[in-house]
Amino acid sequence: MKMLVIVPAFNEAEVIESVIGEIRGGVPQADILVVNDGSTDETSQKAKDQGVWVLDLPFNMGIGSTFQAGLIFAKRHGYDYAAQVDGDGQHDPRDLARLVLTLDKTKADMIVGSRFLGEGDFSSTMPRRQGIRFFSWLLNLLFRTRVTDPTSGFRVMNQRAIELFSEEYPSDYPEPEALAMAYRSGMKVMEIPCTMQARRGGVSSINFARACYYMVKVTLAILMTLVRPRKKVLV
Amino acid sequence: MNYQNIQIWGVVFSVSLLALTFWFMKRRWLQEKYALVWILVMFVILFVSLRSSVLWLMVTILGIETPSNALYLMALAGLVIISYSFSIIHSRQSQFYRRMAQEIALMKFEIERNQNPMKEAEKGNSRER
Repeated sequence: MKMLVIVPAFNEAEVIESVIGEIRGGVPQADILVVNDGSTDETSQKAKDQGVWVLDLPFNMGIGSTFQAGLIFAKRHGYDYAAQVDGDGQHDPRDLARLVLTLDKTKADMIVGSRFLGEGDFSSTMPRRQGIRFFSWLLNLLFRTRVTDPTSGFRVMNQRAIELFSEEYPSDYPEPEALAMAYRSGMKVMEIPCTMQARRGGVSSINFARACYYMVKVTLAILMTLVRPRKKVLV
Repeated sequence: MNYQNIQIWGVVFSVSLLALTFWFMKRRWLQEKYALVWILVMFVILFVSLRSSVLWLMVTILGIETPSNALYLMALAGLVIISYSFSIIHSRQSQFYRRMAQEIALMKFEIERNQNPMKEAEKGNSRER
């Protein structure tokens, strides 16, 4: 299976080399595409020096647009699988191999690595956990699923999902809404447990006011997916 | 307009605009992030139209003559806020567009240069010959 690992990165010059090295160790058969979201440091050059492909976005657009750029690349170059591994080192690429195996074996369209499925002791701030729990509750209520980590960006997807998300993908705080879109178009999403590190390089870009704004916006967006017609994705 | 009429006007106005907002969001002509300010303002107008206590408060505290004037004032203030937010959004977007256009010009240069590597190297672009 031809696989592309998409690495969204914003000012991760400190850790990008080790992230790339770990991905190569975890999934040596995959191609790596670093999508540089308008970094002001040497993230892009350091990634290029490691011999991976780099897309340099002209300005900072956020994780949603950045990841989607990688998906458009994946679609245009005919990849079967696309994975997301964040450039900040929070995701463990060794778990990626397990995600891929699960995608091979099951009929799911997307496998998500969940922090809250038992393994690992991922402690986050209390407000964040409340927010995550809220979105789990909302998605499980609306779509009759059992998602535990709706904000996890650590996932692998097949061509159906690549096709859907390369056309339309939310721009801010995209993961919960993307799940809603996936469910709405009849795709199957599975979670498997994984560990995530606390952020190694860089600083988190969310404060309290923004968090409230995102909660409202994403909730509204998820509700809007119910109102729109179901989209059958044919690959 | 007497007072009951102004309440009806306020409800019709805010509910119509809310319906329009959701209609455009459904068709993806309006993104959720830009719809939020409309939804917020329209809900405030709807609430104030239905519960007149806020309007009477404005009459006594701010010295506005009638509660219907207060409702008009709130609707006007709401629309000004919305307009302002869009001016700010437009300003940011025009910066983005300018940068994208520049990037495209730079990319075209690189692509054309790579297509004719030998010729460019021989010719150069200096004015001196």
